[in-house]
Amino acid sequence: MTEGDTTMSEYHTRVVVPWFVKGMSRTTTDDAEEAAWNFIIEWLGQLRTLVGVPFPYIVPHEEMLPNDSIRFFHIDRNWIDAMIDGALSTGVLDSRGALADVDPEKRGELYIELMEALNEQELIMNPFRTALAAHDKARALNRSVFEDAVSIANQNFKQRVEQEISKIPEQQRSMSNAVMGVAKSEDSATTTSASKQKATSVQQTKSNTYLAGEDKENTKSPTQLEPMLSQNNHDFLKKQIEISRDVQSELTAKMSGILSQMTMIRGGLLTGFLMRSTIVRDYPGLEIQAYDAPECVGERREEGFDEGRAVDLIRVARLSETILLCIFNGVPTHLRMKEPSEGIRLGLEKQDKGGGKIDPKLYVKYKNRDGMIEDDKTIRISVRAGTGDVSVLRMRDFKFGNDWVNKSTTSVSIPNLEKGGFVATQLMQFPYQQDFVYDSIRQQPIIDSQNESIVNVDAIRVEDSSVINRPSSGGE
Amino acid sequence: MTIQPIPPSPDVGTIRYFDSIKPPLTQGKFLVETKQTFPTSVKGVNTNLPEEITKNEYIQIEGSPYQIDPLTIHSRTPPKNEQGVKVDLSIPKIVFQSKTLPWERKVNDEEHYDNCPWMSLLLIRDDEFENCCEILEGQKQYTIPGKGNSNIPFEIRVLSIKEGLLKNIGPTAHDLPYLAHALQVNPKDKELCGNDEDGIFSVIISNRLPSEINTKYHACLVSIEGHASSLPIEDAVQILTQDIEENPQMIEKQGQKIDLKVGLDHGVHRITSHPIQFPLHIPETFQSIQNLKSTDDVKLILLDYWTFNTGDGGDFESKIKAIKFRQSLADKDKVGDLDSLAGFSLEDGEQRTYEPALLGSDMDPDVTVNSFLYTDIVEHDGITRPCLYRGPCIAVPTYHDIKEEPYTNSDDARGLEPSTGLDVIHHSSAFELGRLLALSDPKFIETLSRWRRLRLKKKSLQLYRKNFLDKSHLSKKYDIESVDKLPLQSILQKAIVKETALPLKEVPPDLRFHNEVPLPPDGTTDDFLDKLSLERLQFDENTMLQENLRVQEAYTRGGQL
Repeated sequence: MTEGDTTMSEYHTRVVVPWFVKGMSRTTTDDAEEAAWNFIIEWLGQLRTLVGVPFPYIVPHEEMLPNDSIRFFHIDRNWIDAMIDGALSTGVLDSRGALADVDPEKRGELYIELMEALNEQELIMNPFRTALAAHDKARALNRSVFEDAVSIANQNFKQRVEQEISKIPEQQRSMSNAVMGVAKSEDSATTTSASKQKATSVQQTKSNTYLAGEDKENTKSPTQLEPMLSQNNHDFLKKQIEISRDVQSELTAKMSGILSQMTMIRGGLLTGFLMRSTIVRDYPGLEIQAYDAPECVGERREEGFDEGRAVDLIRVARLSETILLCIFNGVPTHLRMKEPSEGIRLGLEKQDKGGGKIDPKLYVKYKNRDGMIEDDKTIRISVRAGTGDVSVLRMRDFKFGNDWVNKSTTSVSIPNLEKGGFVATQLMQFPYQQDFVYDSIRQQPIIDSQNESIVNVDAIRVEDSSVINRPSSGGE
Repeated sequence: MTIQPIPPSPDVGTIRYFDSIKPPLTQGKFLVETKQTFPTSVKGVNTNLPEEITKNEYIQIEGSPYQIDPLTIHSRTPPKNEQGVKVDLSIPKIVFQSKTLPWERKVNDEEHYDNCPWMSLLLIRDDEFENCCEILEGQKQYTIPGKGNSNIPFEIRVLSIKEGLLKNIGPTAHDLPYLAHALQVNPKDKELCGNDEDGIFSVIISNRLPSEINTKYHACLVSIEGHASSLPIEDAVQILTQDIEENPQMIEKQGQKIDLKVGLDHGVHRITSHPIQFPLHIPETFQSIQNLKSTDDVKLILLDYWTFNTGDGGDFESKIKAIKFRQSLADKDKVGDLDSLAGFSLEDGEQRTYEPALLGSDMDPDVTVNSFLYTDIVEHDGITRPCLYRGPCIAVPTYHDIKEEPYTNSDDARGLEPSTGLDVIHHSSAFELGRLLALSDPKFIETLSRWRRLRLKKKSLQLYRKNFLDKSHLSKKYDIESVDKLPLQSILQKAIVKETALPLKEVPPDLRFHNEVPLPPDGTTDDFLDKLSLERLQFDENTMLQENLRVQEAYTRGGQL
């Protein structure tokens, strides 16, 4: 499977991700009582993830979360239950109580039912995130099976969509493609005129590329716009939905083995952390990954950062300009916080020539299309004179160091970056990341490990609360 | 959107770069042609309508050239008002949520500018800014060169910059396409996941580095639309050719900073941790501020503006290293010292053991090991009493003890700590909070009331229907599921048919031909059937219609028997 394949993109966008999202969403209903109940569940589900809870209730003492600090926590579900009880208590006028039943036994059953529904609801507060996480987890569990299933389903999808396109009159077909986002043919993707947009993905060891091509040929002049909502296109849209549904069923069957392993824990321990730092304000989009791998400590700690062991993020929210709240479904043992990828630092290097002299040209180490640094090759960037400092760069020098456009690629559909995208790949610095492992705290730029301190594990102890509840006051 | 469809999110840890992403429709006028056809006759009646009507409408696609939505700005690097930005050859940039913004307009109509951004990020040193720049606030008129004078319905900001300075620090036309790009990241691990589903951002980078320590810099995002001629010309730009001498003063100053970072900088291809050591000023072809001041003003629309000061830290790495923990030493007081990991380890360079950074543990003042805070509560009698409270986020895991029924009021949720006799108010305060949150949302209150009403109504109806059917002679002829799902009328009709059809089964087929329709048995009186019409229950009309048809058919068949 080539991720750069546009049809793959089509398939992922239209079938795979919605398939996961669908699995996460609550079903809709025509029944008025059920619809109202669903709304109540959704609303109370927000309380489960502390939406709307004032900050002083969460952190009652300032010293519990000083400036520039991070604090980890468990969520006390009993506290949340009490809050939910309070919400349910509104408008109760008679002895049938909050859950509107005369029979106490029935009320108890309904309360349990409510709690179970909330256990589920708290996991799907952000269905898109949950779907992406499920997608990644499924792939990590058995990559070959996952990708084979997706690839086959993708081919079926593509073939059937193309069959439907062929039924549309010729003069309306191109607009159907454009409007419906139907996969462009491989042929159109291989054209590499300078007017096309190009993209690449740079990872540490491999590259992914994707053609976001705008076909000049397909670009309509104002007078060429065709009726977009013709009957044919409408029928095509309906047909496409049917095809998606069919292919999703096929996908479910093919991936049943993987899916059976993907049990989501409901109603288990919720944990999280609060971070108070200007990082939250200055670096929006902070990337947070948590993993549950208790045996991966000491020298084996890197093994713990594995996608298959990822702990689901339930909520990430900025409570204020400098306070970040993060809630996980489970108890992670490994936490990784990374500089936002979109805000990743772009920088150059200087060349020391000895004797207190510096080369007037700055440089970057050349990164090839696979994202690998070629140590023996650099791109030298001139600096403008006349500014009184060493600051203004001649950006077009990147053009002379760009070998990407001259290299043959592994896939004809993968284009090369030429301009700003290429510059970014060459200037990008590895993001800084902060790891927290339950037996240590380690700070590192990706792979070095020079600063590490051990956490006192003995201090993480469980003590049952000695608090007893008073007997019911009987509604005094 | 030229990306059709939006590409799937890349793997976590992967960034996908784009040279540019253009909007689906470029600036200009577009003709929308609508055509509708009509039938000449309907059921033999002439409609007197034309066979076809065509109408053309023009639409104008134009992004605002005067301002950008502040909400579209995702981040600025270095951050706004940041103090102590490390001088490390990092390039300032601005990241937009909008994936197409830099390419939505054009500098001018020349083909060269097709893939160029219409904006540029100028980085201006404070001394340059003070002498050669001015921000003009509240401008209501602005002339985009080549597009005539235009009155703007709102106020904009304009950067007035000396042409000499712009030629000195601005990008050339050849630099422009290299100063913008787009990228896509996996949004799964981000706060904005779900709001920005495709995870695609556009970026404008500056062509200038902040290179002087302890200096204020002004970052100005300006529109260069129509200003191609004001940009420096490639051939006229002079390049540094001589080796640069390091500034000993700078080395000394920054050497202190290197000490602070001992042992922390061992990244691969990572230059950002080592401060550069450039001289403050380079005499080569240096143009004095006085020379620049004498040139003409160029007025550029200011789309965004922020400042920062260089210094010895302030980047992501420095900030996250400043995260504070509490140190744990056996011979120290219960409440440990608070400092950063780096701060503690600098004492003697040895590895230390820390208390876990738990929210509300006994390492914090006035907090117990299981996160209870000793605090006060003002009772209803006005007397302040000590009590224990803890929030929903605590240092220890707890067993989820689901109650048999919800608390009925906050007193019900109040607890007592027997050894000290202190009130424990965390559940009661949570209860009150939940109540207040609910009361603050009218929609929730309304829905909760509606749900109770509907539930009680449903329960009452179920009871009524059950009693009603139990009293009838047809009580054995319906199944319990249909009582909840079907209207009474349908249940009764079906039951009547069943009951009347049953005796006929025993009649031999050859004797079944007679003209009489079997009547309902005794007890199914007109009075009884009249009651059916009094039922005003909610039911599905289609189901009702089908049921009626079925019953009518059954009766008809029965009649033919």
